[in-house]
Amino acid sequence: MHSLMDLILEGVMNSAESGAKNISVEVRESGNLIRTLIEDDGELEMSGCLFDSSYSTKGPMRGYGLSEIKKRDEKAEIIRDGLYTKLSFQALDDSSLDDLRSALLPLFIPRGEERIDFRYYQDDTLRFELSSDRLEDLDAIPYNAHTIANFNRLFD
Amino acid sequence: MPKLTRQELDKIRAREEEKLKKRDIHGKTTHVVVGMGTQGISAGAKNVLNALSDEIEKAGLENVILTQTGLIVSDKAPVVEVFSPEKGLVVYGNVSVKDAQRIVKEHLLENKILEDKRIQVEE
Repeated sequence: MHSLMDLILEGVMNSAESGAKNISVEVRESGNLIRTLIEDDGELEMSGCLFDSSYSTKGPMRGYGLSEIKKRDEKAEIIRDGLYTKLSFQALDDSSLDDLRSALLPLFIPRGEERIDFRYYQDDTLRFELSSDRLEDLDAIPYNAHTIANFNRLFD
Repeated sequence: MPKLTRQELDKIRAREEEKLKKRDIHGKTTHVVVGMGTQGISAGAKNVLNALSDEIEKAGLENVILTQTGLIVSDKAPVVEVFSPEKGLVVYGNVSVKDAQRIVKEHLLENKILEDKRIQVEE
């Protein structure tokens, strides 16, 4: 079964594959519940049921990440708001975000040209934020030995 | 032994050559790509990605670029592709964290292909 962090990665992969150049990930922890909102400027095909495990826009054997999210949260929804697609879902805290360094490394290791903004709130207080822009300024987009080391140092 | 079709292999090569050109790699010659589609994530690709980054950092491999992509090859996740001028494209399937450590040690450092993990090409 996918962990909560796996579901976030699925959401971000979905955004990246829709052609998004900018992806925002907001994670809000309240008690033992974690609510995630992923917003992107990619294209969204609204035909068919996007959460359906028998439906994919990516071709055979691909693109079923949203169905994994739906398995965990029946109320997960994806809407188009102007130029932005918004995916929201919630799940019980399974500790997969406790080690932020390990959780966020796969988020920021490059997959395409997209820029990512990540914000983590605890009881409505911003506890942590990280972005591709900040990582670039710090030479810490984790893709080689040097930049991976710089990325890891942010969590020391 | 798991196999790739020639078409799948050509698609991976074209994609990686394009990415390497875009990255302006300044002598960084080897590209390691982890398949992070749904099947990859279910099969533990996230841990493989983390393990590769740890080992690449520990080994100080400045000439290696690590990236990720959606799933290219089905039924063999987690998949790791290694693309280098010396060995060309090598695709590994069913990669575990231990295999990821071997890929860095044997393929990247010792220039030896892990034949037991390699996905062969269907001719």
